[in-house]
Amino acid sequence: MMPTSSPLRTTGLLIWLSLLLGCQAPQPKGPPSIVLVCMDTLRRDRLGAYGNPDGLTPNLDRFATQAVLFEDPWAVANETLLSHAALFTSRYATETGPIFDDYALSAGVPTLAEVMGLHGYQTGAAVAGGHLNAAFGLGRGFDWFEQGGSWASLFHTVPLAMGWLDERDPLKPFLLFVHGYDTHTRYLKPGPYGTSRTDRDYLGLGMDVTRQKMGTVRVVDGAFFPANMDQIHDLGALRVRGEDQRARTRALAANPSLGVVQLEQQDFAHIAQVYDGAVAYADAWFGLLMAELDERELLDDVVVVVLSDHGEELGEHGLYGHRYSLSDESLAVPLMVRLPGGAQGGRRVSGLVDLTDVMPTLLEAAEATPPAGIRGHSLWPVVQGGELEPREAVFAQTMFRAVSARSREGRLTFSGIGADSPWLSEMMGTSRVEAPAFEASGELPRPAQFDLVSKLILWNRDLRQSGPSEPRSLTPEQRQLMQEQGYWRPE
Amino acid sequence: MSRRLPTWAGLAMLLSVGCQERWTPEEAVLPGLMALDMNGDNQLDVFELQRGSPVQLDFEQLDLDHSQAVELDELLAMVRGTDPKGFDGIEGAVEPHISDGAAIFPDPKRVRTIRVVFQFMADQIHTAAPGIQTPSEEDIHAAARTGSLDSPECRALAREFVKHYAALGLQPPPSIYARASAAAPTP
Repeated sequence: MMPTSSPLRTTGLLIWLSLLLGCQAPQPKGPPSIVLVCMDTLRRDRLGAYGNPDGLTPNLDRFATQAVLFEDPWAVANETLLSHAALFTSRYATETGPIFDDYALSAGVPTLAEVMGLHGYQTGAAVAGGHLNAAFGLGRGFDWFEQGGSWASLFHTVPLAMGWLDERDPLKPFLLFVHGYDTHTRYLKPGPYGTSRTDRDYLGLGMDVTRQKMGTVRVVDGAFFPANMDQIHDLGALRVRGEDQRARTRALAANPSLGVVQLEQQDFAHIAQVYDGAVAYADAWFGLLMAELDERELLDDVVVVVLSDHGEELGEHGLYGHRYSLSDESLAVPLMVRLPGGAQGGRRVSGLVDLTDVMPTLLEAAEATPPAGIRGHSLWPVVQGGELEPREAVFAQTMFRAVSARSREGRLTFSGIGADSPWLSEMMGTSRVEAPAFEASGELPRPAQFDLVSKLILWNRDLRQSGPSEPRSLTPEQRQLMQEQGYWRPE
Repeated sequence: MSRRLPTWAGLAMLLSVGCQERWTPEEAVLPGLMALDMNGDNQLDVFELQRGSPVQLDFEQLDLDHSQAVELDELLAMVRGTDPKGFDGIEGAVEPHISDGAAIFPDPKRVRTIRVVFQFMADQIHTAAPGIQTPSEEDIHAAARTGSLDSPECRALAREFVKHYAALGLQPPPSIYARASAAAPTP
């Protein structure tokens, strides 16, 4: 029988080996600081960690080996404003107030930064403008909310974020949000990434489309519309999907006086390859961000979360962009959580989750009390090794009159009535489960379609009952603190 | 009962936590170099580097040590020093403004939601029977502008839509059916 070593001897060996290797296992030091990275418009299917074979994301893939990766995460909205409103409040955007009318996050619902601030966290955000411009209300609760320019990249926001990190109080935990539009329109990025993925022999219309300002936006149903402002205005209407619009697109494209040009297969391929160059560019800057955190010796102490707010259609349904449909390409996002020191690294968790789960996860990590009425479920126990209790379905909404539900079997989208309509449920309940109002993904069986209609109706009724939330969801003490700090408009 | 102690393999796993390889800026851009390095010499000549750039590069300026090749540190300087906005002289998209919402939703919510419901019902009817004449866009807009489904204009539309729904065997939405069934207001 082999002699067993004593626990004391084992501990001694552990310490000796730690010293020998020049590193130590992270020690618990209270709630961890958190770095939340949003790589805007990054498609999940472009990451090697999610199965892409093209080697576009070596830094994110390396990160995945140190993180817990959720295999099936979904955005709950298809555009930056609504998706970040949900990310920062753990509610569907229409629950946060009259966001469709005000076009901004209103002051009625507690945000992640507000709640973490109440629990002693310093909160900073380096954002890339666009709909994260402070005017849209998403900065509410951050002590520091700095914009790195208009439609900016991690190139602009990572240095800003590091400046804030260097100025922070080192004795207090922090929440840092870093955001970049690296993979957003316009996809074309500088060398060495911009055309690194394109076919070197290609010469064609795709080059014009990707070089021009708003070029990809002017591709509708395979036709490239010339840069004429009136026609672009028309294109706004064409981009709202529907057979009427498709017929109108065909009629416009057939009008020789408009100079509309049809794209060929190699043109579509080129545009996608330019997007891939942007993905590689974003990945490099993500790696540089990680290097900055490592240089500051933070990686043994912080939780790093990486996600995207939505995906991007690359012509699969006739458009380039994300705002106009609730397709898989528009809603599939990556979600990875790296614990201090990379603990649990490489674990993959299957099952449906969505971006409303991020806020409760981070609040539990911060030992903070989540406000009542949030929609998400904390994934913190899962990240630490527990089992995921997956959702039966996840839901999404858009400003352009559509909602969708997704189960493991597939997706069902209802178009024609928006999530802000008081009559959405009854319209769904009395419409035939077929086109044009309903559209099912792939081979979704009929019973599964009916099941998703029921789930959509129940979901919508639930949203209607809760309505746009009021500050009542905070405890009186929390609310008083918020008001003292000027977060709340007096009622 | 003897306690099971960690094996050496277990200890090594424990130690590996918190002992990740460092993240360095050079490693962050190394894959970018490798993707373009056709001859595998760990540096990029002018042709290799140009391959990844959509604009003509000033190689002399990037080759800081004048070695006729761009090495990893020079590539890192290039990535850090090239603004992705305007690098090719094309200006970026206009920053959105909060008033853009007014262009998407020009009507107040109560008007918009009524208009959308009637438009939706018209679409349903046209899908089931393309030839049927439904209330015009103008009629729908006029009724929606009253801001209430209980207005005489909306009730009149509701009656018309419910009639078409019934003829086609479609089930009318309860709210619309209720308005259609309600007694017409006395003049």
